[in-house]
Amino acid sequence: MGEPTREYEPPPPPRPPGDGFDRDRIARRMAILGAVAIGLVAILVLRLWSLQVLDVQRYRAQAVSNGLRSISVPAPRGQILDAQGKVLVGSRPANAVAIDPTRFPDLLVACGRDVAGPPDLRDDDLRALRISAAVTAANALGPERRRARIAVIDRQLSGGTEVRAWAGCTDDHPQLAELARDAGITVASMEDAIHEAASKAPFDSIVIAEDVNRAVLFFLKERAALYPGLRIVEGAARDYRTVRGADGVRRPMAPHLWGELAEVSSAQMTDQVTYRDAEPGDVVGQRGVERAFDRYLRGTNGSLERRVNAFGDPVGPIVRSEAAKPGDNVRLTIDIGVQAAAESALRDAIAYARATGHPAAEAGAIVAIDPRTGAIRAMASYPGFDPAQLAGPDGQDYWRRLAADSKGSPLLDRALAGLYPAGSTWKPVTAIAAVAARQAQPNAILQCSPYVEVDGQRYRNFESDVDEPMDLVRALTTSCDTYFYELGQRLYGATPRNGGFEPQPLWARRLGMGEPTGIDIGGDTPGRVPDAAYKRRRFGDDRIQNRWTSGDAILQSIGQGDVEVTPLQIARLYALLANGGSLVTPYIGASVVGQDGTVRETFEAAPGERVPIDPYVLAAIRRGLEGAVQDPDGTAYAAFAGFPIPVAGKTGTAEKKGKRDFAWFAGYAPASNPELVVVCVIEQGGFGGETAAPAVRQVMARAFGVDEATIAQIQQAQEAGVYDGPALGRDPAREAQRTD
Amino acid sequence: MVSREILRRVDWLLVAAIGLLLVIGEQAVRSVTQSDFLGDPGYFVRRHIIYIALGLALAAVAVLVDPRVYRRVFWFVYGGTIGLLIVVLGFSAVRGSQRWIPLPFFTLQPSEIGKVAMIVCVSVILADCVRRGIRGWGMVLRVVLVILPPFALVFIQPDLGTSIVYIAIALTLLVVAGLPGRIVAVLGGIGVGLVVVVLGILPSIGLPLLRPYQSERIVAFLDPEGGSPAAYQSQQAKIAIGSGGLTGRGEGVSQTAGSFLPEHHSDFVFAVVGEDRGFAGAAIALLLYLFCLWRIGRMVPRARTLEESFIAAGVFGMLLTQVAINVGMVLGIAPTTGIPLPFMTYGGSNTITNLVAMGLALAVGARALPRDALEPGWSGRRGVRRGDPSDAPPETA
Repeated sequence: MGEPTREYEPPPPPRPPGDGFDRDRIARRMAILGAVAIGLVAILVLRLWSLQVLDVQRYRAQAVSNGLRSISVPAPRGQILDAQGKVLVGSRPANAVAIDPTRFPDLLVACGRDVAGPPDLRDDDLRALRISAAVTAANALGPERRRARIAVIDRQLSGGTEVRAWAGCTDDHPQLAELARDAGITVASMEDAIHEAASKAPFDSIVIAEDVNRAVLFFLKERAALYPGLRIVEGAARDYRTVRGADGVRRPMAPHLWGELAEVSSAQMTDQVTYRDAEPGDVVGQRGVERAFDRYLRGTNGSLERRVNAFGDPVGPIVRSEAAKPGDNVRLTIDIGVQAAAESALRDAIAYARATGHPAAEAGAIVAIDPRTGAIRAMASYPGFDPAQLAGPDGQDYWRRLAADSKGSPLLDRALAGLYPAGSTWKPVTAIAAVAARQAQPNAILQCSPYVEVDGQRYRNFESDVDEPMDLVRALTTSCDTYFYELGQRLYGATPRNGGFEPQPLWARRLGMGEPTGIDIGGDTPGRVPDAAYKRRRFGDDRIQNRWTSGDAILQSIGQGDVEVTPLQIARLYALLANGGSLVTPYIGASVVGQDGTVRETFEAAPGERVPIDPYVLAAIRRGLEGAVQDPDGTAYAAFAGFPIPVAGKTGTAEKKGKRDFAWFAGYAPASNPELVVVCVIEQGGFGGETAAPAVRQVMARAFGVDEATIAQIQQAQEAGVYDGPALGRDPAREAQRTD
Repeated sequence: MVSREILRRVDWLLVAAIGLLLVIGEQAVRSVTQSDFLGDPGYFVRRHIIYIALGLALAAVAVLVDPRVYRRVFWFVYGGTIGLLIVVLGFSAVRGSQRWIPLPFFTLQPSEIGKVAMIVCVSVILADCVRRGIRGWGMVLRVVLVILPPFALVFIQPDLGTSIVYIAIALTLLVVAGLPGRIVAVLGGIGVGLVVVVLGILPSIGLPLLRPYQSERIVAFLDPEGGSPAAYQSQQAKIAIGSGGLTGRGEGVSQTAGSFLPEHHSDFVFAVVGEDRGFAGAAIALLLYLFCLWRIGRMVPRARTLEESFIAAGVFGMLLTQVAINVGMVLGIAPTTGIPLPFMTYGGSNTITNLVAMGLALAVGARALPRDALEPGWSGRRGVRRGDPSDAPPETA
């Protein structure tokens, strides 16, 4: 027993009833509350029993399926090969700069799991949660750092449109800002990468910069001690073949053909032809060859099934695994040698044009196709870009820079989608249409005058001092414009008055102008063949001068007016002339080759579409094209002098308003039994025979294995008059025929 | 000397039960938060243990302080609580409500402190009423006047759960103080009527008193498969509990530890106990709460003074309400409200508040009359007297 003190007193004597402390009554009331408590706990225990004992099977099954997740293992992408099986686009090991998450636990919380919520959270709720999560994270810091963090969030909220709850989350680690700078990325993109990674698999390394180059890699490795938590992670990247030019510079080969890779979009997922069996998260080709053959290149993803938590972090061993099946290789019709020759010929031609008074020459394209099948041997467009840089760490910036260059448009594949006035390369179309519309005989002789005057308008010949009668062969050889003006005028006269089809645009379309070529990799543009309907659409038909006039027909007869063609369309036209009237479909994919080398699928050339062309006019056109190259009066004679293989072709010097002349050459070889059609256009490059024809010769030389020394030798022999080699230069028999 | 006597008379069985519940809670928080803070598996549980230690220390202080001082200071307690509840409205909202005052080491939640403050203040007011013979509606009016300001301040934070606890404390005390059963029934009717008005009539005439998330939770409760965020939470809780079975799945299994269940260490911590320890563990935890309630309840009639009696009853009401609503919510038989589970839920303010409340009850118990000092008839054992008569104070008529 303790003594009575201030703080503890023995229980006092019970109070008199007057103080109101009715212990009996309180005890009764307490008993009622006790019964309530027992009842409530009993209800809870019964509920517990029903959930845990009666329904355990159901809930356990749900819990198990909740925690198992199948993780996709990406399949290595197949290679893109040339016709001989050489690698054009391969895969190579790539080094990524990553950070070790365990070194920065606070960073992962700061940058990381945004907000935990059910997947169907509304956007504005998510935004509010992100802001509050950022504020909560900031509040957890000391006063000084909290102020700094809150300032960052304020900036984000007031300045930016995008709410990034994790903005500034690396501020506490200045060494990471240095790492980002040294790895060549922005702090914001590093924070985004950490944020992204933290919500997926935070136990792995967090990649902040993919595919860094070797210089950066060595720089970082040398200073590894300065960057605690730095990791270099190995992965795979596309390896684009480069080729060293005559100037010693390495350039990526055919950058326009491949197309970039990116994660498949939901819209693309619905395209079950192109993106067959694509799964969310798969990286697929977005354009070009990568897109057209994506279903072969992509391969089949493997899978791992493992126990994960709600964030997808692996928390247990692998339950089941299935290896990824690598994608197949795709072999193209492209020939590396011809492609390289086309690219260097294009650069040489532009350099030549700039050196010879055409300083505006800055762009161009070359297409080489097999006229028998439509197989594309080379396709080059200038200026180009570096697809590796586009896929690299600063690819977004690079892409923006390229897209902003509206003058050079380096992203535009001019061979497929460049739109040009056709110029004189169009003339065979006019001849075919005139004969088919019975407006001229294939052997019609017309006056090649200095100009033609129609409705008070003078249409001049390119050569102003010529004034002599010519047949079609001679008109093509010397590229007489007035001859074709006459044909155009007659074709205008043949237009049915009842509004039927005009023969010239109709035949142009039959010959593949104004419509997509159907190339397997897509991306080409239809171009334009103007006709009366076009003029009505464009200018309205309320004014008489807006109607289709003879002037329009005359301009169209030499591929001017509003005619727009792509180099590939011209290549298709000359393939038709070369193969005797069959309109081929150009294609670039030859076959699918498995990783073990077996051919899994071969893409057959689509059968060419026969176009009913009068055989006499076709023969005359071919002789005219041969003359243009082989006759000393021919417009491309100089360019091909000494070339040991007979070539036929047509120059073009096309006019475009506000620009200097565009140089064209379209030709095929060998002239008698054509195996290759080559088309070249140089924007603002001047005369076709001077600028474009030598480029075509360069490509043909490479394709037929002719070296420049041989050409020079033959040329000397010809000039000395001692050359009697096969099928060259002036053909005595034909010479005699013409003078007859 | 004095302290030793107090300590001798402390209800050590109650202390042991609370200790067991704290251990169960600590285990659950430990098992489930290991991967919540990357790189530091002990982040949450370390803090949890610090809060428990702090709470136990403050509870010990509460045991040693003579409850009679509360009579003299309750206006300060009341005023201070109201002050904090007003101050908290000035701080930025977290997850849509303004409940926390950020302090350097800790965010203070005044509405939790308010629970204990309300117990003390209402007890003092009611004791006055009883002494002055104020019964019936007069008593109700005084209690309503005391409880309304803090209730309103908490309700507008908004924190529906805590404001319900305030009401429950007041109601318990009114019942214990001898409010006639007729008035209790009327109050119950008013309560039901209010629920109907707030949930049914006001929204339909365009005056929604509840926040959208609050009505969403009620909708989710009525339609658990409906797919709303609140339904997701409660569905995951049920899966966690149900998958525990009779004896549990052990620690660190997928459902709660894998974060499928958000708030697994705070308001839904009971789901972790259910999953890890099964029906056996969860039922034992519930029976431990019932045991605590019994130990507190038996102090009420024996308390030295009316105030102390009511304080013990208030603690009883607070504990019962929180356990019933929290566990009911986790088991899917009560709507989702932010009421923590005493002794288990992770969090500084609520852990400390609940332990201090237990300290108050233990303080009352340690100063209560010995059981056999009571006149016969209080416990249903009329005429049964035990113990040494010399130890007991003289009986009164």
